Amino acid sequence: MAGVVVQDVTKMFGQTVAVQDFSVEIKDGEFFTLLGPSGCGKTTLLRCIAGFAHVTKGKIFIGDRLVSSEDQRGFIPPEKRNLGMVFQTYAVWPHMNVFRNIAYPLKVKRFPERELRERVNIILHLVKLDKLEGRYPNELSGGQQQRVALGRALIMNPDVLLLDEPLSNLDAKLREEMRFELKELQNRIDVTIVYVTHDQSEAMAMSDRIVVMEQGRVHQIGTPSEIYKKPKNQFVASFIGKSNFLRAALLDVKDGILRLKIGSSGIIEVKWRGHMTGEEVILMVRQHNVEIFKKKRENTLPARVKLSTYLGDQFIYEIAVDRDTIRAQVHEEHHYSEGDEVYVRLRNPILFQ
Amino acid sequence: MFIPAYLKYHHVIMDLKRTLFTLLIFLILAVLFVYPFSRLFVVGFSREGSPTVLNLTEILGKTTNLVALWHTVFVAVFVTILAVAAGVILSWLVTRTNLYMKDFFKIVLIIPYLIPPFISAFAWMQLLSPVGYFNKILMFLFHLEESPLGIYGKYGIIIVSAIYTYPLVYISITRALERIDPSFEEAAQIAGAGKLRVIRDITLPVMLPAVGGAAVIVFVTSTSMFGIPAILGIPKGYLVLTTKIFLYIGSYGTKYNFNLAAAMSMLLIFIGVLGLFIQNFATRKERFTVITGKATGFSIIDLGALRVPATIFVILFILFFIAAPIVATIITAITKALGLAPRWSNFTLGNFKYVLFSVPVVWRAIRNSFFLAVVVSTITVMLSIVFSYTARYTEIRGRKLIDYIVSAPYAIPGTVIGLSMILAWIKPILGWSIYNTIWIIMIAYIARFMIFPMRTVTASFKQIDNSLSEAAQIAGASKRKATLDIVIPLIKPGIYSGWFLVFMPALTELTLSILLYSARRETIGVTVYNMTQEGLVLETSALALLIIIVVLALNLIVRRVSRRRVSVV
Ligand SMILES: Nc1ncnc2c1ncn2[C@@H]1O[C@H](COP(=O)(O)OP(=O)(O)OP(=O)(O)O)[C@@H](O)[C@H]1O
Ligand SMILES: [Mg+2]
Repeated sequence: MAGVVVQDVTKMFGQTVAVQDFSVEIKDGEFFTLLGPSGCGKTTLLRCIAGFAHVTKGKIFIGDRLVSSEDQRGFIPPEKRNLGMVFQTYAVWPHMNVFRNIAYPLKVKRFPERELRERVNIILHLVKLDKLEGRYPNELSGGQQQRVALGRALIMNPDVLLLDEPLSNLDAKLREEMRFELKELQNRIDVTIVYVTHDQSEAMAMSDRIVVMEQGRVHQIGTPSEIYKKPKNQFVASFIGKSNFLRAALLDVKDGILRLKIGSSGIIEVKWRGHMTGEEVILMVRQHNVEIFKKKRENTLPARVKLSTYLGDQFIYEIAVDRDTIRAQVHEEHHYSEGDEVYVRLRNPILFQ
Repeated sequence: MFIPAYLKYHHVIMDLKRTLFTLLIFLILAVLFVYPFSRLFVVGFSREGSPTVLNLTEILGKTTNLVALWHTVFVAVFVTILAVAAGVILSWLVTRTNLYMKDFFKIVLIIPYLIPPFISAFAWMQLLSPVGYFNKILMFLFHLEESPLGIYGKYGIIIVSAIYTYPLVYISITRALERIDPSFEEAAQIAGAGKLRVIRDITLPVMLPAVGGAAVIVFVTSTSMFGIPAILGIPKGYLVLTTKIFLYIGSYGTKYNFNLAAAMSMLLIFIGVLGLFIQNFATRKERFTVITGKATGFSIIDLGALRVPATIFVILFILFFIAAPIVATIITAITKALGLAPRWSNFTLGNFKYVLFSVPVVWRAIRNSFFLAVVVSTITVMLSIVFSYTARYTEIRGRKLIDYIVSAPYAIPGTVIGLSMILAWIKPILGWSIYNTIWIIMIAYIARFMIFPMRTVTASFKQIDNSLSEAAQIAGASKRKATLDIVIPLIKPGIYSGWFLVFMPALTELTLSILLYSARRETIGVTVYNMTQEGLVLETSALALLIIIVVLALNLIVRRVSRRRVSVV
């Protein structure tokens, strides 16, 4: 087991900047997730850690070993980094059966036949492939292939396990299952995991900490709840959870209570500990934090229901508040119809400058 | 129910049309393929009308025939080994390493496949015949009395055939290497394997089916080659099956010569069919399917200290095996008289002048070959469109058969196709004979080359989803108009490729023409071959050089114009 330190890493492909001034310290034994939209440089960063890509600038340490830096001399090639990796396409070798795929890392290290067989059997059991060791990849389902890839990555007791969107090729149900299996596996074997995904719910469910990135840069690093509850900026807030954004004018601040005017429709009071200046602020509220009332209540805004969608256990309403449209997710029995004049309360809002 | 008369008519006419169409298609197939090949079998297994296996037993009972069979296999085995080794190594170097000058190599390395094999054989004679330049240089350097290297016989045939066929391996392996999922190799590296180990454990095994497939193709190609063993083998009596069949056909003094030649053809067909069978068997095992995903682009291997030596190796390969024979041909072509030293004062353009303006057969051959190449490639392409379209879009009976029939010549060597055509047309049919005309050559070419456009056109048809032309029909186009407006434009690249794939080899075809030509019906291939037989070395060199230039120039132009969408192989 070892931590990974990424220090001011920049990676360029010709003129394209894939990763820019990226720094993060991944702790020993942590489940750490790189989260961001497609093309933001997640795979590139992972490949820098693995050693398949050379960093243009910066340093990478695994444990206390310097493995990559901008001068190539100290470069340690992938095969010497003691890593495990599960590729997005699994890369289960088509000419080897399950057993030989998983045993390969031991073969390279010339393990004696008996120990090799013992260790492979343990891994086969761990990834639940006991009965399939003789099969070839084309005789396996997607989920089974993924387990082979996982077993192969784990067999050398790697210091760090790198996973590049390992669940994205699976169907929804299997994906859900594998989430728990992966998490449970980590509890059993104690390994540092660097996990790449663009699926925020996957990241929230599994990670100890998450880095939210965009265009090769770090937006925020934190635990899932920190990132959810205290998003640093609008990008993070919009990427995590289902959010609404409203423009508001800041009227005054008194004892930590801000009075905000939303368009011409009304004024609400918001408790906010952070510092706010200027005239305009952005107010963010999660969809499930929007309450709807028939009659005017304290601290509500007048609004009109534009669209209602029934999802079985809840309603999603699209609601016009002044010139903006927000969405509300409510479980209430009471049903509002399109065109209804209503009042909304925005609970637990977050303000951005 | 009342049906208007014109509708009834319409129905009858449609039915009639469809029946006629079906008949026409199968008539064409019968004339081109079914009739000639069944004649071959009939003649091979009968004498004077009564069935017998005597031909086969007589063939197998003669030592010289068994020797020819042995030579065929011997040559093919070594050609396959050399061509596969060269093709795989060169392809790997050029696609997967940081070799210098890769773009240049990529084009140059396929040149040997573009030059007609009998021309290559002739060019190599300029280097390695007893008076060839290599031999002269070696004799001068080491004060030798006799020429140390020989081109005639098995070694010459093997070397020249391997140089002609390695591009087949090179091209198919390059395609496979470009498609291989890079994470297969990266996964092995993560597992702790060094670069060489990755190549040994992952790259090579994953490539194995592609290598095996290419090897089978080279083997079958080698057993069916005629030009090279004819030019380099016949003078010294080193015969393989194709040249042996050729000699049988020509020896009118031998009793039952056609029957024996046909029986011998069965041996060659057997080898071809066996090859196809092995290939199908090898690729059947789905276990080797390479599942490719999101391609991140394969990694380029840093050769490190070996980068310069590897580049020099490829340059030497090109100099020795591609440039040297061409340069030798150039020198011979501009030399005043055979045996003169390559010195400025001995050079002349007289050979070109002589060949082009004083030998009437040359221009006639050029005219004939161009006529044949243009007509044959156009007809084969048009037939391919009709056949592929019929197989895919219509419901006529037996449409699945078309593909099998058209593919048959793939396993049948040119010499055997030629023999079948002779057997089919030697006697007038209904008082009408095409034997000894240009039309029999044309029909033979069509049968032999049909498979190329058939493949490219079928492949393009496969890529077109039915919904595309259906959308045009929904938009109001008739079925015919939809085909013209949507389908045909989409299969255009396949049509152009197919046309060119026939045109090039047809232009310089030798194997069929040498069997089927008659006075005034010479082709370019026949003319060059006959000139070598007459010992007109200087004039032949001039003509060979012109052919090489035209062939390479045409390929280059097509590559440029089509922006590489039309492939040459
Ligand atoms: N080999 C390469 N050459 C040039 N540009 C590249 C290369 N690899 C990646 N890039 C570019 O770098 C950027 C980051 O790519 P990367 O593959 O790391 O994104 P990602 O976050 O993994 O996206 P996804 O979620 O779609 O996998 C992209 O703009 C991409 O086009
Ligand atoms: Mg990616």
